[in-house]
Amino acid sequence: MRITNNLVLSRVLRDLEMSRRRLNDLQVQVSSGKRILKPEDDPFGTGKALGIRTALRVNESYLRILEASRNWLTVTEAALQTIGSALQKAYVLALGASNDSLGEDERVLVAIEVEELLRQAVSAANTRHDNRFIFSGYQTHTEPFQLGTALGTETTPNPATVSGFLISECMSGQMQLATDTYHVEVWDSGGGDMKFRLVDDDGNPMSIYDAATNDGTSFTGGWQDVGDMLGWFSDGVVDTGRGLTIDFGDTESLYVEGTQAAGTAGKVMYISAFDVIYNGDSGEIEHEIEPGHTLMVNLPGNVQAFSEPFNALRDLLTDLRTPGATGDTIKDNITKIEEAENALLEQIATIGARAQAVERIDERLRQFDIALQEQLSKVEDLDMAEGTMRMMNQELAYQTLLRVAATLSQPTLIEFLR
Amino acid sequence: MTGFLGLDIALRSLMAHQQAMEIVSHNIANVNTPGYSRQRPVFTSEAAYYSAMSASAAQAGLMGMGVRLSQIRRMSADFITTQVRLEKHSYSKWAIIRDTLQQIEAIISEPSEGSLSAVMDEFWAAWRDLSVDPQSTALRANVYERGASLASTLNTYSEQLVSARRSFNLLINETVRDVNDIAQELAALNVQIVAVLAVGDQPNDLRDRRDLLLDTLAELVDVTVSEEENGATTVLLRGHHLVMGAEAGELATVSVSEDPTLLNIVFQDTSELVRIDGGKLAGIIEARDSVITDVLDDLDTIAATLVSQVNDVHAAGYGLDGVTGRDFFEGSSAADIALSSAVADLSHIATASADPTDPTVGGPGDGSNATAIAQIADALLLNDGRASISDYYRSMVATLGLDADHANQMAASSRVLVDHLEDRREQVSGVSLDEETIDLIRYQRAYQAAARLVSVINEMLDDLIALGRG
Repeated sequence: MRITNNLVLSRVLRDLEMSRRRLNDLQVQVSSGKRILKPEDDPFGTGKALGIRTALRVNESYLRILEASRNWLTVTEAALQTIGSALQKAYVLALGASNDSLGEDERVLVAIEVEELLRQAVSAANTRHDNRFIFSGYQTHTEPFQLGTALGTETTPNPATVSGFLISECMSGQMQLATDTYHVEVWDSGGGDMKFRLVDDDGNPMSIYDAATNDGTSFTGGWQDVGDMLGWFSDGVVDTGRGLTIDFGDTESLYVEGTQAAGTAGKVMYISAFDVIYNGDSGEIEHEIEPGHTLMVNLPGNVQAFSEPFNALRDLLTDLRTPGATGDTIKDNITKIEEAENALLEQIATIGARAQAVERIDERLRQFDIALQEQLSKVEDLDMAEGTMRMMNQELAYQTLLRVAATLSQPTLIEFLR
Repeated sequence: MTGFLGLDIALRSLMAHQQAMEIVSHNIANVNTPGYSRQRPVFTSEAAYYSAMSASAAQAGLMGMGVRLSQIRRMSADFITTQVRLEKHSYSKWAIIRDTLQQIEAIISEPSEGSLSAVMDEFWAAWRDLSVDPQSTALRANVYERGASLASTLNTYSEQLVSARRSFNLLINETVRDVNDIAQELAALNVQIVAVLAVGDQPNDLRDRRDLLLDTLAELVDVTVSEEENGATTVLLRGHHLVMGAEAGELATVSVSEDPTLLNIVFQDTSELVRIDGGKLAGIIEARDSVITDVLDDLDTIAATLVSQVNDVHAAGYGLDGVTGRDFFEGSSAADIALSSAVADLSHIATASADPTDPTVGGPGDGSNATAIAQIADALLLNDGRASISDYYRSMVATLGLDADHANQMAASSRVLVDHLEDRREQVSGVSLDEETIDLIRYQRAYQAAARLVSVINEMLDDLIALGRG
């Protein structure tokens, strides 16, 4: 086999190049710490690595959701506990008042305390979290609970429950108001020109004096725009409607009539007797806490856990105010309070169970995260010890090759002949 | 007469050996010339001369007439050369395909944190976050931004791939020009070689030049080479003559009908499309028409699926203003996917499954449609219901890696073979300086001996002439 100079040199050159290229690849691996720098380094490994990275991101995303779920459930539970403690205090008060020996005035004092408890409970039920009402279902910008009653077509005397009615045509609604402080609200659902007037039982327009100022200014006769009405009374403006408090003092029965143009909708509400009205919906807010698994995190307000406590408190309060109430009536109220407590506890337990589920899944996802990180490292990362050793070996090989190359570029015969 | 004959013979030896030394110096001078085949002098003894006068009982009548340099032989390994060229077809093609795949790997840049895989995951996560607080402007803005990012990443990939495809045009033009130039030169060489052979000489250096050109041509295009009886080579491409005798054919480029921004290769005279299976041009065509196109098609599928699925779910949902039927994305391919102007107002992003402005059916706290969109990430939408969008993408990347690795192997093993064959060829036709040195000594000695012969015969003649002087 002939060996020519070019043969030797070109082989040496090729080997040097290959050696240098290998060395370069190893150097890049060691300096980046990664085994896979581009898909061709390990195609299946790349596919796996991408999958693991996606799984890590998905995990992180669900952990965030779980955090939000946890917060909802915590706030919900706290609010329910507050209502529960109001109920418990009411229970004690009721026990005390169930004694027949208590006088009228004393009972009214208790009623006032119970009223305060009711307001606290309603306030708790109107809790906000992150600027949203948590018990309104999907109507998260609408305050869920309101101390009030809707007017109904029945004119039953206060303080029985009356259901709301909608005025759809030139219908008038009349409601007898008893003598006490009332909070009147009128909703006008956007059609405009809702009006009302106050009339007595004979249909005569009434005048109302502002008892606080008693300066003779009054609201007399005729249909008044809601806005004008407001001008006379300054209390109780409520978000979605225009409300006002009318202090009647000792007047006789009073009627509120409402009228609306045909074809538009409106509601006339009159509030008394501390009914709690729910203005939200039954929307279930669900969080997807892991793939394919959603958890309801809210409690819409239209459940017994709310209606029973509020009604029990209201009934206690009204019974206490009703002249001639006996110890037995109050005892019935105590039973209602107990039942209400049960309904509430049931709901609290459900919320608690959900919170536990959240914690379990959170823990599991955290473990999963760790496992995924390990897997990713195995696939992507270079074993530094091994990689460094290989690189050093290759450096050595390269240097040896250089020396060999130097030896091979030997002088030729020509130099030895003289 | 014997004396003068001796001189004659010596003279012939001098000339032959001097020529031989010139050949040696030619070899040494060309030790580094690419494509050079070493030349060897072929000595033949001159035909014997029959002389009746020299015939006698004492000696045979045939008298040798010395030496002649009958031929300067070119030490070429033609069989190996054919194999080298075949392997070069393969190597050049795979080298281009390998380089293109590596370029695509760089464009896709996986695995890394800024690539399509990460951007897509963040997009779905943004929807999930929004489902938990649908009224949050910050979270809506996040969904919008992530959507924009996703669209623009797809746009960028598409753009880069399309531009890579177009840049091949430059290469095609250059290569076609090179092919044509080489064909011209080959035709000219053919003429020269044939002429030299016709007078009985050896056009060794011309053949070297021709072989070098043919080697280069083999790197560009997979031609078939054959030599005619008169010494001219015929170069065929798919049966069409690129070089025949003194005639050179030509390749030309035309625009592709489906996409005028790309070029195809045709024969100049017939405008017939050329199918090229080897060499650089084959590599370019395959890289452009299958390698890059396959990746582009996959990206387009991903984009189209994203647009249609997200839009379907989004249009079924309601924005905060109670309006339904809005699109989130617009476009149909990776190049034109973008956010629809319908969601430029962030409150239009459809998070609710029922009208949130109508309290009888829904409310603003309803984020269930956002959850539904986030669930598209896991939906088995592709490959006949076996793969999610991420699965599809991952498989595209893995396949890219496999193809790149394969091309790498093919190019490398082809290269090894080419190198090996070229080494074999070098062994036959390469110049060994040591060998030439020995030859030089040999011829020099022979020359010296012949010169000595001349002076010896000269003395003899002197003696002879002196005899006649008396």
